[in-house]
Amino acid sequence: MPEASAPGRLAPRVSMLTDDAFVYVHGQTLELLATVGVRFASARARALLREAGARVDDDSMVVRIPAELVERAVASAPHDVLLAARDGEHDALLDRSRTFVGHDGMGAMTMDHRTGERRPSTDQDLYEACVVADALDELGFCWYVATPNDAVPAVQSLQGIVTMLRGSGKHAQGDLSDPLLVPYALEAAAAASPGGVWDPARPVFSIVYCPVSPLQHDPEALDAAMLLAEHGVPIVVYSLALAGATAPITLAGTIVQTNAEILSGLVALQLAAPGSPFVYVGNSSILDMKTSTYGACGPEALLFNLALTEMGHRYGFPVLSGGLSSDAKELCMQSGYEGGTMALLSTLAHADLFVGVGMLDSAQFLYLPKMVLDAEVVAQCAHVARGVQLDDESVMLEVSARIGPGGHFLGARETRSFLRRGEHYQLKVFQRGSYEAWRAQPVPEAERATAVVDDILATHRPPALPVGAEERMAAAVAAAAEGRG
Amino acid sequence: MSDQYGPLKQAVIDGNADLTNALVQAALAQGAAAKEILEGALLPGMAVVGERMKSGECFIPEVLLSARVMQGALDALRPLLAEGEGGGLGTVVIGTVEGDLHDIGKNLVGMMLSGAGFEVINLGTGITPAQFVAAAEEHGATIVGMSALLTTTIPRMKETIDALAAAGLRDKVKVMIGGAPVTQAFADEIGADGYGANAGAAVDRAKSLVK
Ligand code: B1M
Repeated sequence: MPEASAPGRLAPRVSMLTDDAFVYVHGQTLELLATVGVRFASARARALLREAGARVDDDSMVVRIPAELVERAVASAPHDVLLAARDGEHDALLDRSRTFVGHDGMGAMTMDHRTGERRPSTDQDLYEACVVADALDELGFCWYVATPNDAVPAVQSLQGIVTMLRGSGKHAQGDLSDPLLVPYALEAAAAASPGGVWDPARPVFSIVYCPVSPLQHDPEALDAAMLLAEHGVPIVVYSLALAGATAPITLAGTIVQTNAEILSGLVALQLAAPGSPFVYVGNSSILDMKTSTYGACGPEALLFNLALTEMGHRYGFPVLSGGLSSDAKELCMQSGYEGGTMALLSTLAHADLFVGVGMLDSAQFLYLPKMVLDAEVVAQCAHVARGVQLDDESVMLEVSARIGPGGHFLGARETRSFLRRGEHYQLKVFQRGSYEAWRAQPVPEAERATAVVDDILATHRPPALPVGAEERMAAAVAAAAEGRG
Repeated sequence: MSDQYGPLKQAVIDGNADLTNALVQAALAQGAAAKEILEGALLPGMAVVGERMKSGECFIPEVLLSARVMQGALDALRPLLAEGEGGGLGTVVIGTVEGDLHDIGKNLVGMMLSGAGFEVINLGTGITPAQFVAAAEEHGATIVGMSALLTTTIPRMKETIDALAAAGLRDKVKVMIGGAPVTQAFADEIGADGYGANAGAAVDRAKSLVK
């Protein structure tokens, strides 16, 4: 055998899309967009599309988008997107080199870890979830994980952005579907930004925008997204097609439709704000045909996420993928399996972002202790993604020679040094050890995680906001509530 | 009676529209009363489908197909049915509340209710309290059904109940609510008469409300 040089780092990667498959899915998508078309209820979007050469039917509001327009939009969106952190330390630069992890969203309910009661979420729940995210190194950004039901309904999403910015120094990714709230959101974000001014080059918040499957765009939400894009706010286009209900029953049909919905949103956004930052989302799902409810996880969701993450990457976009979500109602094998497999596959598909931390019941309720357990899963996924360092130093032939047959490696200097350099992953809340030791003090997993949450909430303080920011943000919410009153 | 209608009942269960329609016509030609066909074959067929759905033996699209087949047959029988014989569990006006565009659950519940023998008027999404009231009046509704999936829009349900009361309709209609964030406790709190955690439960509850 010829002598091989050391390959260096071996990092695993999952992939399912061949070159042919990409071309095929893209072609089917273009055909869907050009022939069936997409309903744009926003008059502004229709005007932009018409001007750019799309075929617009004003009665049905359906726009047939020619391939050339799609290709132009794909070419105009930036490949690297910065999700800036207000603390300046936790920037998430989406350039395919790292995977950043965020909460799940957007929980109407919270399972109160203090009382065990499942009740409507409050602003305080969202705040605490962001403080915990701020403290956990495994989380790279915050999502709108709990809706502040105690805020004025018309401004809840704005309140959400403010609370996320208060609770953590990391980037806040929220929701804003009302164009009238845009100026208030920009004012709140400016207040939280260094120097108290909005810097489009360093957006401290971004927005999730959802097309309405099949093949529609809500007027208010899209108008809001276009306005935000014009101010440099990154827009994350998240189609939530449910196979069998709002998309074809087949995985292939749902993949093509999801891609078409995302690209049609991209076209409108790039026409409104050429070059504006955009994130592609690969997270479609199914309608469970026996219980007639939303099924967020399982084999189909895994395949959708894998295929679409690669589609997004092939176009050159940053991609947000599914992660630690689960349809289970409790912490159990189902929640661990569903969340863990999706997290691992999203990591190994090199998604730029993935979400799902902290929630159960198909993203219906927040449970803070799950954040701690999810963080452990994220850390393990990252360790797998780091792979294996394969070179002469790591193979350690010299050490083997020193120790020889029958010896042991525990006393070797290299053992200590590699351990210190993190060659082995060290468990945080998960457990190893002898059965007897565990039996003597069997603290259930959820209790161990709860203790970490309580400790964080008692001791961790998010980085300070600029002077006067709290007041400015509160004033923005109050003014918006009055304006929307 | 049920044996005589065994094949028709089975055709409904199988979702076979052509056979169902042919057997309905044959039964009529043999002098069967419309009411008898409905109660002896169509509704029992749908009841079997409903049971199979609950036990997980059949898929929602199969249930919906049977419901459509039964509706088609009912359309043919309707002119022959006397007043009040329409299969007639009553009329449901159903919609997604103002500010909310989630409509999959609402549509599913509507289709299932019509399969169970209700006349269903689907108002669509973004329905204001005033629109619910107007529709309830216009169609002489037995049940007003509201769906909401957002915590920002579920307050519209209570407002609609208040509007029905203000219009003097609260005693004449039953109110049913549902949607992912809605709970029985919430239904109790706002004074709704019924709640359904899923489409099957919604049908059961609606039937029990009109008994
Ligand atoms: C009359 O009597 C009855 C009786 C029973 C009744 C009933 C009436 N109505 C329903 N039932 C019951 O029977 C049905 C059949 O079994 C069941 O109906 P369901 O509707 O529950 O079930 C359906 C069959 C399948 N389920 C669904 O269709 C809903 C699934 C989820 C994923 C969902 C979807 C698909 C969508 N969404 Co939306 N969406 C979510 C949902 C997550 C979830 N866990 O539910 C939820 C509801 N959405 C949410 C959000 C936030 C949003 N969504 C939005 C948009 C969308 C899509 C357009 C993408 C799409 C809807 C497409 C459509 N045509 O409906 C936006 C709002 C738009 C608006 N103004 O309404 C947007 C704000 C997102 C955004 N950033 O734009 C969340 C609400 C959070 C909250 N605190 O309220 C959410 C829980 C997801 C999440 N975890 O973030 C029962 O509830």
